[in-house]
Amino acid sequence: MKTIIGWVVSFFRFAGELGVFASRAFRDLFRRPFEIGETVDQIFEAGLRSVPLIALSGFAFGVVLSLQTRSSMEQFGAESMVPQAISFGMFKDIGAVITSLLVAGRVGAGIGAQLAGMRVTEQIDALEALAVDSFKYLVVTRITACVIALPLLTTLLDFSGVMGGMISEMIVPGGMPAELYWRDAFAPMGWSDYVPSILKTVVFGFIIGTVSCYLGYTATQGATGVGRASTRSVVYSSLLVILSDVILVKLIFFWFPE
Amino acid sequence: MRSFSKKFWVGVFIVGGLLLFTVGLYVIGSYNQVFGGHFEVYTDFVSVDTLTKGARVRVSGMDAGQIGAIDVPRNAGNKFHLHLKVDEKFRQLVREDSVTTIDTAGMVGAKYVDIKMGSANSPLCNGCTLPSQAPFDMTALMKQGSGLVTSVQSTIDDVHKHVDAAIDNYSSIASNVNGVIGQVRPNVQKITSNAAQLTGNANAIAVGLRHGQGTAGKLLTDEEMAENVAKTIANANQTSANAVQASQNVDSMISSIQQNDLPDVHATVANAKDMSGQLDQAVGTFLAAGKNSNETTAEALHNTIQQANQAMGNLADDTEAVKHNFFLRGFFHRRGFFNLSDISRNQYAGTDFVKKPTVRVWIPDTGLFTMKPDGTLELTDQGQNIVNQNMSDLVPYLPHNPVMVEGYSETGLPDQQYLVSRQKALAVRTYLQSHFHLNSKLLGIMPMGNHPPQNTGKSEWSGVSLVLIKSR
Amino acid sequence: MSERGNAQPAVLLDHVSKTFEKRKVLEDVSFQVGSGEAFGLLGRSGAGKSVTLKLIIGLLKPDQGKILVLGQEMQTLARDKLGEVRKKIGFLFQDAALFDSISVYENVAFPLRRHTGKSDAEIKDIVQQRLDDVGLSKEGRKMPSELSGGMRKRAGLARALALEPEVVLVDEPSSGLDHITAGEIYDLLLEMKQKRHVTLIAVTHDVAGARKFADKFAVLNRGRIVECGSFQELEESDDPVVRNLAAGAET
Repeated sequence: MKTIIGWVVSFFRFAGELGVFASRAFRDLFRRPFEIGETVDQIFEAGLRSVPLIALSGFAFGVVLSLQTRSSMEQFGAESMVPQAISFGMFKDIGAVITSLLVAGRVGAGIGAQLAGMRVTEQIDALEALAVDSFKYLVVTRITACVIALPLLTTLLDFSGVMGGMISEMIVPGGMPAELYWRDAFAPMGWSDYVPSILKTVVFGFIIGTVSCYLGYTATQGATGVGRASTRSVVYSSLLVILSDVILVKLIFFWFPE
Repeated sequence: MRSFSKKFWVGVFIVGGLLLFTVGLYVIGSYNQVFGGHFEVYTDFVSVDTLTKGARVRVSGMDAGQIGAIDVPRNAGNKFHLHLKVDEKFRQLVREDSVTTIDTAGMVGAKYVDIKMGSANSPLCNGCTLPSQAPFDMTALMKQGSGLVTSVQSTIDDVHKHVDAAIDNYSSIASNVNGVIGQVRPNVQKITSNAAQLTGNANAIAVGLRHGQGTAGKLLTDEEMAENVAKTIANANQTSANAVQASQNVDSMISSIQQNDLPDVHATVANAKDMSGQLDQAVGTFLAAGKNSNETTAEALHNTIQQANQAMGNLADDTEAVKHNFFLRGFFHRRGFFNLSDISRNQYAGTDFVKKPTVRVWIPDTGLFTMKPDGTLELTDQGQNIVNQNMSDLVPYLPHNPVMVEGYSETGLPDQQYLVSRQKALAVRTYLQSHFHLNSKLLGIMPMGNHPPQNTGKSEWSGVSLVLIKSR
Repeated sequence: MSERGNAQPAVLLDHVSKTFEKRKVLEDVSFQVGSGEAFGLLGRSGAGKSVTLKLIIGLLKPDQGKILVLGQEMQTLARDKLGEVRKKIGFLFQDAALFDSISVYENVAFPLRRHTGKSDAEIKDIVQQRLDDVGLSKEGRKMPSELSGGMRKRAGLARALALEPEVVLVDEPSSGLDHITAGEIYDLLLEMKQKRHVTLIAVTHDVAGARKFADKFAVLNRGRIVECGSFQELEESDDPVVRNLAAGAET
């Protein structure tokens, strides 16, 4: 009983602290000084270095989607729906979520480990001692990088997925030519299938950046704390991304009813 | 420098990503006519049939735009008002008489609005509200289809009853084989209700009878009588098989309709109704035949069931025909003539009935018809005699040549003329079919209004005309 | 720089208390360090020495009491003012706390790049000067992880001195180092004090080492200042803990 109460208390404390942390991050996002150089470095780390992973994953996912949907669509004689199934699959929601999970795994873990390491070796204190706002320098820049990188990476993943599906469709027996595939993939899509799902990854980026930074920035307990912050960053940010997607899907449906 | 190259690559990343995003906007936009010019037309539907804002709009099947908005009616009884955004290049095709329909792309595809190309002399539609055609309702068809099945079922029940009645009749006359019939009857009933089981039963009974074995065999000393009973059972077997065939045909017809997007489903159902009308007549004939008791008892039973068999055979044939009529319109062409109950006047005018009738008799309608309480016409007794007399010219060619009953009426407007002339033809055909035992397929009606065909020498007529042709 | 008169102490702690989750780390601590003085804050590990340094630079805020650094009350300063004061304070952390993602050179250059408008060439000269001062002229390109503990500490000192601070705080200058290396660090601190006349506050448990550069001492025991004064005064203290500590330095 005591442990359960303990869990509940620590859960709400975590939620509260994370909320305060997030609101501080959000506020500082718009306050000078803007750490442009460090932000560029972080976009390089979070965004550019993720490009090969994201492009390859998207491509592979498109191929898998094509093969899977083709085998089931064939039973209904609806092979012509395959491009649409792939493009809708990639663009509407899954692409955004997959990108976010991949980024949570690659970047979130990195941020969590790096900041926790800096915390336990007093590098964050050192920054402060050198009259640098460590929160802005470390946290805001990383969150900004995630917020900027995620929509771009999602776009990349979506298109490489459709591309992967196209190449798979061109090779597979009974597949379709690229031109027809391209048309069928995009003809049934509207902006409301495309823009909101990419824009919502801004929220996912904020979540990944904030959660990872929070867990790293507030890490304690030396070397074990570093490992824990890294693992928790992945777990919590992935979980929160998926949970927030539940809400965002509903909200997007509310704003773009179709 | 390191930081320079980092900034460079981050720039490449951001600009490249934004570029890709923009390309996406254009690729998707290009299929949605967001950037191209478009014009707006409107249409109203009672039911939007799952259409939504942004759904596709096609002009004569070609992608032409999307639904801009759907106004929900303010009041019950009003219609949904659809705003259709159509690409500029289709402006010349969308006229004020263009009709909109809600269609489905493929078997499981999305719904879209199709605008039929207008006629060239109709004015261009500039923000007009186009007339709409209500979406084809599959459920309504299914109701009609199941009604058809029910009527077939009741027909089969009628046949069934009559087999019972005939057997009763038979038993009352042939009192010496009462016991036998008592034992045969349940067999016949069982047989007619189950075709698969029936074959076995019928064979066993027939074999038993032939060898003079079993209860029936012992009692049936008369060789001829035994043979007749065997034939009877074989016929009953066939009857039941035909009935099963008929209902299977109806089933497959309905499933065919479900699977295909047929343009003429309404006509199909109308035909099916007509077919069931013919079936009723067939049963009528059959019942009438059963009343002839001056034949020998065994023969009577035999004949009765044979007629039932024939009636069911016709039914099976007809359902098959109805089905094929819409999927393979050539079905009756192969026979050399159309289904006589289903050709238009213009089609009829081009057939050999009109061009070179072998026999044509004209019957004026004085004293011919009487009106039934439901408003339909029926031949009077005197009328029946007149028809019988006039049939004497045609009788030599019966029953294998088609006969067309043309109806004529001079009173009233063309629509009334049409209806009345159809009534007349129908009344005569009903009588001919039952009286002369004619195959319904070979007996057609044609409402002619007051316009006899050109080469007949008559300019107008009121009554009927019987036309027979040696088709084969 | 009017505050830099002798009339006003460079660092002043006035009845400062600090508690971490019910554990009293500092209780009613008061001392002052005059400008240009070298102050040794002595005590066993866990006595609250590091906390005192972090309170001085404003990384922690006291529960009670007042801390004045160069005339500014640290706990009430706004963020940007606090930054201004911190620029005048150098902090050498226990494990140097070098930024491990950038080179030693960049570590030393970091405060210069951020807080001075100096050109790359000027910065290069200054950094080289600082590295020369601590004997790391050739290690600039190395990453912190490639350095030994003593070298790291020296690099940390070079970084702490980059902005020519008025006050230098040193956390355990000798921890984790052998005697010889620790001695080198003490020599550097002494040199720094003599050359630059900075105010130096070092916390350490190594009394013998502290004697090399500090001219004034305070002893912390269980969160309280138990003695304050010259080394001689410590030796003559009434408190046996202080006497033991001082005696330990003789051997």
